[in-house]
Amino acid sequence: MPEFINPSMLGFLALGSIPIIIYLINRQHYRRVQWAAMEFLLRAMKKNRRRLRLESLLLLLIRTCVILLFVFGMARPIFDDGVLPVLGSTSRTEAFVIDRSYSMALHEGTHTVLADAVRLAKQRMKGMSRVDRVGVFLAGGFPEALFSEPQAMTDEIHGRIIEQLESVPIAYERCDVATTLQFVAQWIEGAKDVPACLVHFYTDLQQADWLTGEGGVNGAIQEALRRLEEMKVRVKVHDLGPPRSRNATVVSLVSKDPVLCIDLPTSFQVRVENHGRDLLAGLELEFWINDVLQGARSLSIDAMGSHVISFPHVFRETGLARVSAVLKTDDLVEDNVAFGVFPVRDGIDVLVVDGGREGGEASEETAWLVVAIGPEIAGDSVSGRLTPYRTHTIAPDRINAMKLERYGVVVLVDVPAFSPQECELIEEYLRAGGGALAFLGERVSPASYAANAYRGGEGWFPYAPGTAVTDPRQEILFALNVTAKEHPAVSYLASTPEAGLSLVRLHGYVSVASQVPASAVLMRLNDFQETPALVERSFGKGSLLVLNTGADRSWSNFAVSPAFLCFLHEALPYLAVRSDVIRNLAINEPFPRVIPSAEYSQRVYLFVPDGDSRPLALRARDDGATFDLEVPGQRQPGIYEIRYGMEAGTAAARQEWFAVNADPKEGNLTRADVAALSEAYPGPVLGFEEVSKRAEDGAAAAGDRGEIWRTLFWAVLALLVVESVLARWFGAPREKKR
Amino acid sequence: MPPEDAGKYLDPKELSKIARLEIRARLIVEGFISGMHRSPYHGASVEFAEHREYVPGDDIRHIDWKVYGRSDRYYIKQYEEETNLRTQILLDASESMSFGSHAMTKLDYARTLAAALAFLILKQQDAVGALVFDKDVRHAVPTSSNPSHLRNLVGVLAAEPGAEATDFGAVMGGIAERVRRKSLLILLSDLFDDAERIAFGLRRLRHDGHEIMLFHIMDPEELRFPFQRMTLFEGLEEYPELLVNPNSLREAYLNEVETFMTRIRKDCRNSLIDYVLVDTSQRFDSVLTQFLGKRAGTRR
Repeated sequence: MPEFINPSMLGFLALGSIPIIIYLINRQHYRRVQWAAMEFLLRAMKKNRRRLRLESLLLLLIRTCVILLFVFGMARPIFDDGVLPVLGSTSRTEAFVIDRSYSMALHEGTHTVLADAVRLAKQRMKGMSRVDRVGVFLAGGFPEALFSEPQAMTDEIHGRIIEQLESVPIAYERCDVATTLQFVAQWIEGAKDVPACLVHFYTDLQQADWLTGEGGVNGAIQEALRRLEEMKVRVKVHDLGPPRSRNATVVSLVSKDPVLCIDLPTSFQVRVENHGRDLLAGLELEFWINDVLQGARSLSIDAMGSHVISFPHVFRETGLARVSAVLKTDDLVEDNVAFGVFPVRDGIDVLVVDGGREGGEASEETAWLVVAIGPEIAGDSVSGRLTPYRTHTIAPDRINAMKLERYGVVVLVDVPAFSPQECELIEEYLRAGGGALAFLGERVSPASYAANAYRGGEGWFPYAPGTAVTDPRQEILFALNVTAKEHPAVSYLASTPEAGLSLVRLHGYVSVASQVPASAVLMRLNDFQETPALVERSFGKGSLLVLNTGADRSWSNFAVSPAFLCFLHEALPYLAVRSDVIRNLAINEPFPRVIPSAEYSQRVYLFVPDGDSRPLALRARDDGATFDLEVPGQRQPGIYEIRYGMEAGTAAARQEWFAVNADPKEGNLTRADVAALSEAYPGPVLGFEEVSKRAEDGAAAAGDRGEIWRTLFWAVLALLVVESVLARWFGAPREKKR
Repeated sequence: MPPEDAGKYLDPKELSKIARLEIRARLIVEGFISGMHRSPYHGASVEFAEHREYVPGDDIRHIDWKVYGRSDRYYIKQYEEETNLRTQILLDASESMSFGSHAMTKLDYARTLAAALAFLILKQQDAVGALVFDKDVRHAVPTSSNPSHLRNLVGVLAAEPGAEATDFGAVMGGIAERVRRKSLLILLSDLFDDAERIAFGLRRLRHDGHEIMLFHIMDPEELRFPFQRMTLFEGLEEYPELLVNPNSLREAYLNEVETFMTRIRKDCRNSLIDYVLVDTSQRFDSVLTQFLGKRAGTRR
């Protein structure tokens, strides 16, 4: 049985009865004539009865066939070669790549672009015969192949493909064209006996997927195409992109403050971008925290513009806050929401080790630093908080007595020396994820630091300090230059001239005798050697920042400059939260957790956003004290919940959340210009075909092979000619001399 | 009647507007043969004209034995005919003759033609009679040369047509019984009968020594079969109905007609019968011209 691309046309096969009806009507509508020469007529009739009947039947048959074949042709039947070997052709291999990135979920009328792509691919597959071979790939994120090698297009394989395509899941990632093409190339390379392959790529042709941010050639794509060209593969890109991109994307949801604390006003900033060329007006943005609507804003975004909306909030409870921003009224819903899970603390404890402390009195340097970190307003312990930090100052000889893990940040202020035990404690603290900030001053003993803290690169200190370089007359002054301008600890200083870093002048510092390769220099002095001034050393999970000058006015004016405050309030949160669990993930990013044995639970479940749940397993680690919890990368955006110790019918003993967000860049629907792409990727490999959305009958996309509509229409034409000739031949008096 | 109007009534369309057959005949003849004084006919009652030498095949009754006695050679006496040509007009009035697609039915045309011929013959002071037949002889008028005889002839020729089919074999036998003396038989018929029977009937008359002139009256539609649409042909003379697509049957029909007429022509030629095919859309003068032409040929 043939299959039909337009099966609805088959209803018109009833039109085939028209010639018969006309014939019967004609037999009812006749002229009546009295006739004398009946003898001749009867004799002629008698002699020609059979011929006349045959002629009549032949014409009737031809006319009926003309209509039936025409309707049949319009229904676009597809035969495979086994049925109509004459119309068949040689075996070919075709690969179908469906871009399932979420931009393909754009609604155009009643259907999505992805649905269009699937429909067109299915139609083309219908045109394939049993001897043809097929491969199907899903692009979007890392590509997937439905079959590891080309499959003959049997009914079973066709059925499986159709079944799979009917439920292609959206990928909330970008379509990586280069990786996809390389993947297809590898697949073809691994297959046997594929002399030539045609790759159909159904995509919305987003510019961001095909060209660089500046609209240039994507080298990776170029390389993939070169490889395909060597393999004599042709790629036919079916352009399904919307003619005008009109979409707003919630690009980000971030908290203004890196550390969220109860009772401290903070705000969340939601960035919405309009990538289209039309003004988007009347968009409504909702802001939710812990499933409670906190507020909504109406906004209009200019063409190619963006809008940042701030939602202020004051948390009153600690824990993990589940935050989301949802944009309403948009054709592409997949990029209309951003999720976040933010830890809310009651505060960050900062341990200040005062190297100049004498007899219980804090040094001037430390007192200045403590005020800079967390000034307290007397009288109001709640609303009077200005920072999340709570400082605790100790003398260096108390380090051994402290439980450093209780502190978010340890600040070492001009500590003269460290004993091996102290260094061991600090190393353990850093290895576990602690953050430390060290100021070097005139009290520092380079020998002690080199021997115990640096230890030839094995210790926690990033370098062996050299001698102190000072100019008491303050004639030679040095400035600080930010060298790692993107680093969160100094990016504000680098990007904000008002912070006053350019006004800072040093006339004393501790030189650097040696530096471990793993350390990073964030600021340098502007001396000839460009001496490292601010150095970061990652140690275990923790990190240490070392500034080679003091936190008071003895060697610089840094402490009394606005830059000092800015530096502290950028560096401290960085050090405090950098060891925090990263809970805001991208699609397919795993969520690894280390669970201490004290929190062990036999039952752990992951609850996905749609409410479904699946069990997770804890695996004992080698240290015997902790367990690994592997939560694999998720493919759907949303807020996921992990419940620990949950028995049937009981509440979870503990729960935590993490958020997964789609790649917002995929929301930029700007379509690549085909001419520009042809110019960017010249050569015979890549061809483009714009698919007409009006071609709902599928005519534009159906495959040629196995289809016989052209043959049918030629047959109709031939039959019409034959009918005309025969009708004239049968009916007209033949020229004959009488 | 002005001379320019004389020819007008030779057209059947014009002539059909005139109801009286006698007037039709006069109009035709006066329009066509006015001025003819010499009879083209010769018969048995004659005035001697000249001798000619006998040749085998001549009627030995015409040998002048007196001349033979004087010269010992055979001479044939030749005569100038005067008024004693006997003509019988045989009009087929069977049902099939009532068909007509033109201004006149075949019967109408035939009886008009017959009346004109009769008038023409009477005008030449010859005797003419008429027989109207279908399956049998229905009406008959004996021959007479009296000019007033035309009224009798017209009366018979104008009689209502029969509803019977022609049976040429039988009716020609009947006619032969009635017409004993050798005559010129002018037969006007559509000949819708079996060709064999027609040939038999004609041969019978020829055998009796009659000269025969056959006017085969056919309607133009019967000759051309010009129908296009699906047509139900209702047969006359008890033939059944037939619903056909004329386009597909035209050629076969025309073949049949052609075959039939070829056969009739051949039989006529063999029996020395003058055959004239008459299309009822034809002007009467052309038919009369053919008639006179044939007769003149016969006399020579």
